[in-house]
Amino acid sequence: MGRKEIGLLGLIVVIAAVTSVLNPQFLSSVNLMNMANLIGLFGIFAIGQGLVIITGGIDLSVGSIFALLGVIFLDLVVNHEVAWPIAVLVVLFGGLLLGWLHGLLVTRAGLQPFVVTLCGLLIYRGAARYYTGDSTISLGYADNVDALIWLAAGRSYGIPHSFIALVLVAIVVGVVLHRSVFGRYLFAVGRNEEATRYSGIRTGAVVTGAYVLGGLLAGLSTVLLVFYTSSVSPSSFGNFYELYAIAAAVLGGCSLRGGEGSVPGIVLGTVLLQILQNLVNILGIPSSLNFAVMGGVILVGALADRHLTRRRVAAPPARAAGAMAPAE
Amino acid sequence: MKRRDFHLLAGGSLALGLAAPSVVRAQARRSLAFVVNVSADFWTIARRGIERANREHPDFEMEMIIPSQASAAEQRRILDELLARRVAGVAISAINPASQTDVLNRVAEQSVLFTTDSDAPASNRLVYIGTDNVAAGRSAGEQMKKAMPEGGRAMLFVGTMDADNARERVQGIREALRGSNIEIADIRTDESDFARARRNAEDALARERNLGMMVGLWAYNTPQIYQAVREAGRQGQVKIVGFDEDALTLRGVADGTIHSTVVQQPYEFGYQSMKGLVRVINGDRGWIPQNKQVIVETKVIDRTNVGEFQSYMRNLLRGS
Repeated sequence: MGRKEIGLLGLIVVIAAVTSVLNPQFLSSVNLMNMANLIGLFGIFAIGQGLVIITGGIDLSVGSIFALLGVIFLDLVVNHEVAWPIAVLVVLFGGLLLGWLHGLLVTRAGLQPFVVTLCGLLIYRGAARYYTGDSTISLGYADNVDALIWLAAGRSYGIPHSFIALVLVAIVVGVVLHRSVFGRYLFAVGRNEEATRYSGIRTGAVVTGAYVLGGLLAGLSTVLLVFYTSSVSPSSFGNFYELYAIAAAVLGGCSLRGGEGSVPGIVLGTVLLQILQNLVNILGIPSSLNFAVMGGVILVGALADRHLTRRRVAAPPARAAGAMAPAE
Repeated sequence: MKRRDFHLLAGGSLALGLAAPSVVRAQARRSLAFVVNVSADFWTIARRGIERANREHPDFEMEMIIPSQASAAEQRRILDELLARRVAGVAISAINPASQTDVLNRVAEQSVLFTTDSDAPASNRLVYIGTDNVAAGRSAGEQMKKAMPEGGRAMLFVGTMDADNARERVQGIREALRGSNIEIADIRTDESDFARARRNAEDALARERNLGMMVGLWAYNTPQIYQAVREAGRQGQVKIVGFDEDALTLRGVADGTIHSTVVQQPYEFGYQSMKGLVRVINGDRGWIPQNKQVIVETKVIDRTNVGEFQSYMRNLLRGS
């Protein structure tokens, strides 16, 4: 783990410690497992978002993708009684396809990622609402999906499956990003696309790959989220969730300029965001302050990070002289 | 079934477009709009009522409009567009009536304005057709006392407290609880994000080990509470009282996890609003009562009548 991740971990530990002093229920296994569940739900697509951000892009369409794939999924399972493995495959493939489309529009058509995915945000939300005729689809009357409910929303040894899914995804993507040639290319494209292209790397394919992976992870998250809420309201499902993912990625050390970031960092960013929302409830802070608390802590974290980075840049001479050096 | 309606609609207007020149078509069918606050099964039922009214008055085009966000600003945009389209009549569930008086009055001037579900008494609306939310709150309060006669701590859950129907329901609940030993420990809000609603319920259960009761004020809150309570294995220990008739809420009432739910009659909101608009447009205002309120009564669904109500709901949602 790098310096940023350790700093973030420190912040998480401090906040967790303060919260648990104020209300010991924070550390109860019930609460920790609830949080683990939410960390799993939000972490998986945050990792996808992180990959895109590392290439210097951004994906604003995630929340709308959830709504669109969510209503398609429930429609297949509830109204058309399609076998759930097929419905899950449809959703995963759908996410992959949308990601691929975004990648093509960014690399082939030369559109800016912000524009492409902003259009996605609008189009998919509208499509989801049209598809359902603006009505909520609920799992309420479906009876043939018990196995899937267990798989997506169940627990093994008390650990929520969404959290296990996150761990698996983090390991796989972590290896891809930090240990594979493709991962090196992702960072290279994010740092300097032109230079990367001139080194003979097919940058278009690399960037598209990031969007495809992001889309696939969004598809996976859709299934998990649907079983968390048990119903999908096409106008509100997943609203603003892209911002949670972007916040988690940025907290975790991804630079919106691209070329920086790590999977452990993104996961820790998600952990911090979920802890913040949990502590608002656990400490009985008025719900109205929820977003303000989140924004405040992110701002403080960003300022502290900036401050430390500057000190580190200024520090090397002092370290050479054997004086106090910041932990590396 | 939902989309079949859509295709029918699309097919119908296509046929009309082929048959008649566009000018004639625009004048032939005056449009009535039913503007809601957020998408929910609740409004799907109201839509059935609207569809019935539309079958009885095929010379009108009746549509339900659902804002992309549950905000007064979004409703304003919708209303502006409706006025630009020269809508003949509007029934609206105002999200934040106090701040919407101006725009509502503009609609009332240029068209016929009803409120439904959530009233805007300060505006020049002709009539309100819907629930008396304070009375509904009182009814829920009575249910709370029945579910937890020994008293205890209760937590309420709702989308936003700046919606009047939320505030009025809370007011009614407080009125009914006055003098009892049920204490309202907290009210948590979720900004209509279902996942946050679920999280709020989970966190409440984690925070308060001796929580006696949870109350869901909006249609989607109760199912999220139901799932959180079951997940935590605290059925029976934590009593639940809800509002509205989500499928999961009814399932919870049937299996005993939820004590009861106070349901409105959105079918009547849709049907009576549209019928009323047509009557006013045809010059008949005599039916509007002095206090400009047509109250549609709420009903309590508990173990005794839930089976019957479930099949009624299934038929409605499946299509009329």
